[in-house]
Amino acid sequence: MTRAATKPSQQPRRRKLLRYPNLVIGAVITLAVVLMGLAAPLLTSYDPYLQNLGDSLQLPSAAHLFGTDEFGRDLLTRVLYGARISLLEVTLSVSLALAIGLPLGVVAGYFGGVVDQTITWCADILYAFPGIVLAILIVSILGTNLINMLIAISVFSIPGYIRLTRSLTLALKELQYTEAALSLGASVPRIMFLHILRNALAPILVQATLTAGEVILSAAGLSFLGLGVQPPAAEWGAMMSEGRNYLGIATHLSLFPGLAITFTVLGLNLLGDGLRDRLDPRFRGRL
Amino acid sequence: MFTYLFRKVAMLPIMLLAVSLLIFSAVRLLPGDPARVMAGPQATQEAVNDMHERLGLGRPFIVQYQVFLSSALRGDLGESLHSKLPVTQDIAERLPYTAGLALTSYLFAMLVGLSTGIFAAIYRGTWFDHLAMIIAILGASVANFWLALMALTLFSVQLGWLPLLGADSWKSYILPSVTLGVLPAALIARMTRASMLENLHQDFVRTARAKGLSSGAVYLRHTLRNALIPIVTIVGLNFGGLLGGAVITETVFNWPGLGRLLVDAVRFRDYAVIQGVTLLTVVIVVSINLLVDVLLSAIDPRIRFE
Repeated sequence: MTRAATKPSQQPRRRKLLRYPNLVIGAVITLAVVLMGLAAPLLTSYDPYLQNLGDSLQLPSAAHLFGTDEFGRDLLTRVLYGARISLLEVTLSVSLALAIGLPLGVVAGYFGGVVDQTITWCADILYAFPGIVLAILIVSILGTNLINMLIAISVFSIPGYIRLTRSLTLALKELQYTEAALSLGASVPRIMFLHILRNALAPILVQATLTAGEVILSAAGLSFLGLGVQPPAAEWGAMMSEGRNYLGIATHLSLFPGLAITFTVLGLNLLGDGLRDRLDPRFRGRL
Repeated sequence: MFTYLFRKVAMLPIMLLAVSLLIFSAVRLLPGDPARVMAGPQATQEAVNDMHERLGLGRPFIVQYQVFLSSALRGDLGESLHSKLPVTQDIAERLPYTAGLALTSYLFAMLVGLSTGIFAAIYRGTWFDHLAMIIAILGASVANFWLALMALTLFSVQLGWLPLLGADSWKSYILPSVTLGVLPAALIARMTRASMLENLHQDFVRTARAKGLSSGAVYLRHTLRNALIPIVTIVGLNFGGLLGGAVITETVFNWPGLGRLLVDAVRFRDYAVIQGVTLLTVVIVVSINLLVDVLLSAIDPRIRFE
């Protein structure tokens, strides 16, 4: 009886989800990467940093599924622990960009005039730099380490959030509920951050998911160049940089970290596309 | 039309002035004495004093910026710490290689992206459409330097078909151009398909068919032409991304372009070069964006009246 009662209500929801295959596949991949990172110590018995020179540069085998690196460290273990660094990079970098970009965007859109022009102008200046070039400039000044790299990556994501939040605020501030809140005596900050920002969250979430993929690619790129996370950290880009010296001899050193990056970014891109399809039906099946 | 163009062109120097101020201030923010940092770790006290004099560090900030700007406008961006050559000479030697790489990558991206997008839209829902879009989303997710490493292993190390490193012949362009062009190709394919689909069911396309025009004319002259605006926009906006990607691709292939110059400059803490290459990159990106704006206003007159 209970089963019969729950089935009809579950089926439409399941069918509805299946209309967004990108969303489902993207969510599954992203969840898998998160779990991979969090449960890394449970999934492998090897230490990601302990060197064992006797086992160096072994090809994939039953004992080492992804083989070993030049210091004899198990590559699968390092790839799994690498997911933790990537998750940390995404979380910190996206949060920092949101924390700066959203308030500036809301303020620009809400007040308009000189405030808007000044903020938009500053965002345009940052937009003129290719992301990686701006990040290299910042890292060359602040120094090469994980935190400075994340600051650099956040800085080039900020203008995107400012532009999006500004345009959403421009539309939302004209709506009746904003006027109603104002006439009921709500303060301007309350209207901006509670009423407007809360209703702008869906497109911002889509943008954050799509830029999360870019964060991983940029961070891996900077670490590959030696301008981000430094060895011996198990970071996917840095691991590929180490593997670069062994192409053709031990290609697995570069192959597996690269596959991990592609898998993670693919998950985030599909999730972002799926969320956009789900939240804005105009895009369904188009992109 | 001319008012629109004038407004756009007039903004260019103001934008570049602001960017140059930002880059100039950023290098002055270096911890410690900028003259010592820019003169290099092995510099004698005399060399540091020279650099101090050259940069005018004793003078007010705005005067220093004025000196920097007037020198830059005369083509003097300082001297490289590493090569001991004027930065403009270093840049002039490297620029053709980066321009060549960017051009061939974009040609590849346009050719593959446009044709895939057009056919995927025409044959919507078929196996070709599905396969093309799966490859496109994979192309948008892959790290271009990983693709470069794998292509290098297969085609240069294992099969020996293509040169391993450097830019000695036309064959050297194949791997860097293709691996750098994959991301823009994927984005162009997705955008072309979406934009074509939006136009395929419009009244003017139906009218064109009703007039008895051939399929080729309907798709290319009527649908694609109207679908061009978002495609040109994405092509233009991604040029900066392509230049950014070139920095990493050039490092993988030991390509003697601006990207490698920049990465080496960071390694040697050669700030005059970092400053010069960054400034030039922004000038290129801003100019391309202006060109795209002009092109868009030529394609669609509605834009210039907004």
